[in-house]
Amino acid sequence: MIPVLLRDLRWRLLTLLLVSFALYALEPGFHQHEELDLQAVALGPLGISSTLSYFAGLAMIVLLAGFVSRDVREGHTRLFFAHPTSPLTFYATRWALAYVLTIIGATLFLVLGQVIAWGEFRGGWTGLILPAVSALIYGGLIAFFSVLLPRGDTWVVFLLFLPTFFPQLLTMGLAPLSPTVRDAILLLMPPHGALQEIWDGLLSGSVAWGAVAFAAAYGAVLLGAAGLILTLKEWP
Amino acid sequence: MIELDEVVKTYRESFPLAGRRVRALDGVSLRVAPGTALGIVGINGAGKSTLLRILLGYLRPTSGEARIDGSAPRAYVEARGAAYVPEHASVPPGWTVRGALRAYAMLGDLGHDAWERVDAAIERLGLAELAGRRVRALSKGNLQRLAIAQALLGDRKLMVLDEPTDGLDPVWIAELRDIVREWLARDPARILILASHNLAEVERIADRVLLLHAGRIEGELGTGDGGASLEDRFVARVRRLQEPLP
Repeated sequence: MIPVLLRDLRWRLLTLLLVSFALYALEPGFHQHEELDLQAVALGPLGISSTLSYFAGLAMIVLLAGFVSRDVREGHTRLFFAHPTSPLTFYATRWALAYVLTIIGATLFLVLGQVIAWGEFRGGWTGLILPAVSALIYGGLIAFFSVLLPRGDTWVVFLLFLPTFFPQLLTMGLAPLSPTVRDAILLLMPPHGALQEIWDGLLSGSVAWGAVAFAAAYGAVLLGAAGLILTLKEWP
Repeated sequence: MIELDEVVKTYRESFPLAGRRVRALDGVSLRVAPGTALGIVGINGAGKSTLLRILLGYLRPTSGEARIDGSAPRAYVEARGAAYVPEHASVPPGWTVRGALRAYAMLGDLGHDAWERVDAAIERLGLAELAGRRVRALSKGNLQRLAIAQALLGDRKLMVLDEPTDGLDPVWIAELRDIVREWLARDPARILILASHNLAEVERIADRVLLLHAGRIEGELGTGDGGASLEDRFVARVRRLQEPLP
């Protein structure tokens, strides 16, 4: 099944290649000679991990956009699930494939980006923790909304992703709300604070395991909820 | 053995939580023994497709119970599969005919001879010249033949056909009849469930025909008794059912 799934993903993988070119161009650490961001230069290879995190979030959104909702909407599920397979196994395989591809992509970005920009690989393997957690968060979100909504899941998750790039959007959007409502929304939103904490930890030479666990639990809970809904779902 | 006991299925008409409830099936009880070719006929909206989807475990009864060989339908299909041709077959449009069949073969439990089975299904359904063509470029009839081909890949005990002649020309309707008869003849424990408006085909293939009307089984119509055609009997029965009560 994997070769068929990979072939189906070929256009999405091409899109990811374009995304990675854009992220390479935007990563200040890769453009030291232009002195765009002296702080980024000082951070070294671990400074790239925030870009790797963006890549991982976007990769899961691109690779899994509509992966359940579109099958249901277009009626592909009727033939799929007449064969001896369970919907949970089928979609879990697709999710796992997207996760593996995302981590491979992030690893290639880390290594090739350094080789191309700096002419050598200087390390930064620990930085892969951030994209691994980010992929779990956004993979969990896209799985949850793709199972729950008949359409529009990609846009919902993309909107939730935007504050990663533009945190001020979230601050502005939540400003008029009462502190209780604001806290409730922030609890439901992707854990940007935990991701920030992980990144800060990496830069100071440690791994913030508490933040890693919180962020990973957020993604895992969404994945579990998606799996539960998938098991209970009817396939009209 | 297929067993349905007082199966009721209701839907919300428009919104999942707020729409009016519609009773698609209203207390359906049924026994289908191995070796049976069962036809299900009824007017549009009678509940035929809903009944088939309950048998495949795609839908769950609102009340009542459905079992296939003692298991819930979904558990049965996930373990053993079903040869299913839906009313509107939908295959990812970017797949080729051969690629689609290989994908369905990989979803199944076909083992080492999966590719040979794919080739045999392509040959049997006359799809050899179309094997490399994308699904989006297939005519309705060719798509239907692809749907029939995927149903033949596995060694299934249960075949469920929902309007299988839809889009097929008369030659392929006759071929389908032969294919179904061959399939039934290969194993006496197999069960065929056929729902169709093509009553002449139902009469030729099925050895029991049930009339489903407004979600209820309104008895059997019988087959091959040499009297009026199934179509005539069907129309007469449905007209009686539609007459207002005195």
